[in-house]
Amino acid sequence: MRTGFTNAFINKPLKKYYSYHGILMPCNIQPDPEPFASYEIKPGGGPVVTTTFEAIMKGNFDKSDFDYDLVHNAVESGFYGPYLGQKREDFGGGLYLYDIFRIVLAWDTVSLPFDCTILAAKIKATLTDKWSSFIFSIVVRNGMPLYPHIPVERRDYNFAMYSRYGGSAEITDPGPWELVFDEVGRSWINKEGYSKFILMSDRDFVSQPPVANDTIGFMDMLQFWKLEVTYQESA
Amino acid sequence: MKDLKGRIGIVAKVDNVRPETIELLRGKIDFYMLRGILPVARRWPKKPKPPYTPLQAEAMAVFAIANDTFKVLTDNIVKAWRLGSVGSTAAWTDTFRGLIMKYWKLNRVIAPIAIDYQVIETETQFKVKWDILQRFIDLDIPWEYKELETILINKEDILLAPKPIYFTLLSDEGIRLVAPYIAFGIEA
Repeated sequence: MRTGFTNAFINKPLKKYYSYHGILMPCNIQPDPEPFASYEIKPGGGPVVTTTFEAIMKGNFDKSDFDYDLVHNAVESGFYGPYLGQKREDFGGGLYLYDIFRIVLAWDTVSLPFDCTILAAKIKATLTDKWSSFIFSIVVRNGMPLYPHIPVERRDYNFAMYSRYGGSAEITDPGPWELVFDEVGRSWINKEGYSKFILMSDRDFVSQPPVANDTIGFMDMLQFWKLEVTYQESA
Repeated sequence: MKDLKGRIGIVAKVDNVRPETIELLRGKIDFYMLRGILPVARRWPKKPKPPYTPLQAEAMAVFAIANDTFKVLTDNIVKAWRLGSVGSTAAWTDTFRGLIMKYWKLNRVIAPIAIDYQVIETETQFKVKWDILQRFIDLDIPWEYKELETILINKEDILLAPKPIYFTLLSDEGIRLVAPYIAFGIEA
């Protein structure tokens, strides 16, 4: 069996002819419209559950130098923040100081049923400051199983240790902020241990130097960094 | 009396029929207005009487099963049936029975019947969950209940289509089963 999706009422009625007491009579009929998409239906799983985890580790990184590439590709950094984004400070005479801010996070998601299906996941945080004059996005990337470390280490800043892209969210005015994981990101939720990620700006992700103070600030405490996971238990 | 379309014994046009004639022939010839405008006469209709042919008997049993199934439909799906019949000349109950009879005519079995449905939504995806009842012409066979659902579908895959969008239950061959057209109410 299937679930079919149709545009039922944009189909025009058709004429059907039938014999009515020996007379061939026309009659308007509304045919069952052809589905534009259909999906097989199968036995489903158990109930759908949404659970929220508080972060157990966070590292706020800030690396600065007069050479953007050095900042971007540095293998380690100092701790400062919690800020995300990139900043350029004009020292005059063509000299610019670049700062890149990244945040690494970890949640203990071992309590998720090992055979559940992750339907949705999002990072929830509270944005406190928006210095950027334009809207950019924050992306989430994966470095598991090794990166980032618990407890956090200076080398967890290293761009090269993280791969792919698991979802993004535009920055907003100060207040609650959410980053929804895409299909790739959902596959990173670890049902057998810690789920660990790095957050960075999309400009940082594509190595595009800043031209101003394109940064935002967050509430620092771990309980303000939540991972909300919606999953379906197995049948 | 004049035959219509040359077919004798089916229906014939008549005119100037007096009321006494109609009364006199009651039980033998039936006079009535065809489509409300054309006076015609036909042989007095006879209700089929037992013994029925096996096919007649089975059709009656299927019709009875269709009528007997209304009581197991949930309020949720009855509401969807009612909404889906707005603007249609057929009552939803007629459509319901009609789908069961049509499917039986094609396959000689009772069609799967949706007795409830649910749309489960996440941020970017959704799935449709159906509660399906399978009944059998042989009343000794117990009813079967199944919970079936689609995979998670990306909302944008469906919402790109022109609106309004409806969904229903189909067989693998694309034949409509016993479920209403349900308005797809999810937003991006």
